[in-house]
Formats: sequence, C-alpha cells, structure tokens
Amino acid sequence: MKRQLRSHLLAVAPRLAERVPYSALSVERVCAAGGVAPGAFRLAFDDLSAYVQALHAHFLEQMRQRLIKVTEGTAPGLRRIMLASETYLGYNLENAALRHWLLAAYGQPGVLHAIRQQTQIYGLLLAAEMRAAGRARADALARLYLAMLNEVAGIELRAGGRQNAYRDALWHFLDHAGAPAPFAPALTVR
Amino acid sequence: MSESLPPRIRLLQAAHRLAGEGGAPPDAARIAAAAGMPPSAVDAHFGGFDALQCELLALLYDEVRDLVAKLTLNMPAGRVRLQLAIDTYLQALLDRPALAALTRRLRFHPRGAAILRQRVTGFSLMFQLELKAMGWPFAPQTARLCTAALIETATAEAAAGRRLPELRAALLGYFDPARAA
Repeated sequence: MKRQLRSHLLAVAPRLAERVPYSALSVERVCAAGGVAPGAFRLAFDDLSAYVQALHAHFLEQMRQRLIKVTEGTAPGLRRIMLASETYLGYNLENAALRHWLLAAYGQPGVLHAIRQQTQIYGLLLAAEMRAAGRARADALARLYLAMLNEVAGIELRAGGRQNAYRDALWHFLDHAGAPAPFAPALTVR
Repeated sequence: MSESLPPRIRLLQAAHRLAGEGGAPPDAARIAAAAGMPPSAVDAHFGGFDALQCELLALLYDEVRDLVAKLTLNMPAGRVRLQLAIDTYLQALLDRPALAALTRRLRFHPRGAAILRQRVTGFSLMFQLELKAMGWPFAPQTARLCTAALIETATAEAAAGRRLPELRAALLGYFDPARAA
C-alpha cells in the first residue's frame, strides 16, 4: 500500500512540474495532483524534502534503465559513450520541467549527496569506456567529459531544446582528447 | 588598519587579510575585531555576513583574474597563452583555499551565484578569444565546455588540497596543435 502510494505520488511529479515552479512546491500541491488526502502523504514520505530526494532517485533510476537499454549490444568505446551521452541529453530534455525542479533542489544535502554518488559511478564507467578506446589519462578525461556533458545538459535545458553546436563541441573533445597521435578517424559530426 | 577608510572598506580589507592567512574563511566577529570594530559592525555596514562574504568572493576572484591578465598580457593569443592562463588560474585558486571555501558556501546564495556566473562568463570569453586565434572548431561552444572542465579541475584540486597533474594534463593536452582538426 505504502509502496503503491509512493509510486503514485512520484508519478504525478512530471506533470505537476510543468505547472508549478519548485519554489511553489508543497505537500498540498502534490496531494492535490495525486488526488489523495494531505494526510496520506505522510504515510509515503516523511516530508517534502524526502519526496524530492525520492523523486531524484527515481529520475536517476529511470535514466539508468534507459541508458542500459539504448547501449545494450554496443561495444565499449567512444561510440557507446556518444550514444549514452545523446540518451542522457535527450532524457533531460524530455523531462525538462522535472529536471528544473531537481536542479533547484541541488542545495538539499540529500540530493547533493546522491548527485555526487551518481557522478562518481558514471565517472568510473566512463573511464572504463575511455580505456577501451585507448585513451591516455582515462580517469581524468572521464571526469572532465562528465563536467562538459552536464554543462551541455544545462545549456539545453535553459534553451529549451537541443543545441547542436554544443553537442558538436562535445563530440570533438570526445574524439580528440587523449587520443594517440595520429588519432583515429573522427566520430560523426552531422 | 587606517581608521580614515570607510567602515565597509576596513571590514573588507580585514576579511581579505584574514583569508590570506589560509585555513577556513574567518567568521564575522573575527573580521570585525581585525578591523578594530565591534562585532555588530558587519551587520551594520553590510546588512549581514553573507553580503560581506559575497564582496570577499568577488574581490578574491578579481585578484585571480588580474594575476592571469598580468602574466599573459604581452603574449600573442593562442595555445601557449591559453595553457599559461589555465595553469596560472588553477594555481591561483589553489593558493587561495578561502576562495574555494567561499565558493562552496555561497554557490546557492543569489548574490554569490551571480558573482560566480560573472566570473565563469569572463573566463569563457577569454577561452574563446584564444581558441578563435588558434582556429579551433566550435570555438564559442568549446570555450564554454572547457570552462566547465576547468572549474571541475579547480574543484577537484581544492578538495585534494594539491595540484592534480593528470587532470591538468588531460585538459591542456586537448589544446595540442594536432587536435584543432
């Protein structure tokens, strides 16, 4: 029962985020959107902060599943990084309103902790992919690439759509940074 | 500390001096004492400790910017100047642990976030100028992304409390001439 209620209240978030800014988010608004009594919220979450943390975890899990599905069967290396990056950027845009909420919640220690953990895990995975691609300083490159990828995600969110020139700049970095000279043929740039 | 200076300047100078001594950024009472003023002076002249910290944040970043500009001013635009600017910037941040602490503390504060955005924009423009001089593809976009990578490097070095040569080399190596294809 509690689990179903949690899932239900998490599921109403994307649509609610399209109507209500994070600064106006409240238990009452979540309950109204979910069609449940305000008292029911406490059965599922301790408070609004716990709800936002669960929302963030849910968002990351959905994205993780999407990434696994999209990259399944692709060999480790630059093309898989590019595919995963495109998926990540696309997922952010598809869920832009919710993403804005979560960005606004970065000041919450629980959310910040989860982001750091996620960054660490993605950093390790990326470094393995970079190594598979024969890149020098794979760990360092992975860290820099993630910072750049998140910058593109932020730019696209603020612009409200795909920004091809930024993606091309990102692919250029992916294609050339740490590459042995002479480096491999360039990845696709539209 | 000259008592002829306006109280805000005296407080800011005291905060700057204490920040330069290393360690954690000083608290309001210590700053006021160093300025020869009562503890209430920070609230009275800045309207709160956050405002004083934001001023200090801006001052320290300006200092770093001026240092980078001074060292690179007479060099031709391009890869060597860019690499020197990056190295100087990272070292200047590393030499100012109070700046990293203030950045962490104030990044969600509206004024602090605005100051940080301004500085990021400034560095990104500098990056762009150098990349254009090098004929780099997607120069404005690369400048923005490399600024994010630079901030990541600075954050990692601040957390480690030392230079991280692998990160620096990964970033600087990207600007080797053969890569501008």
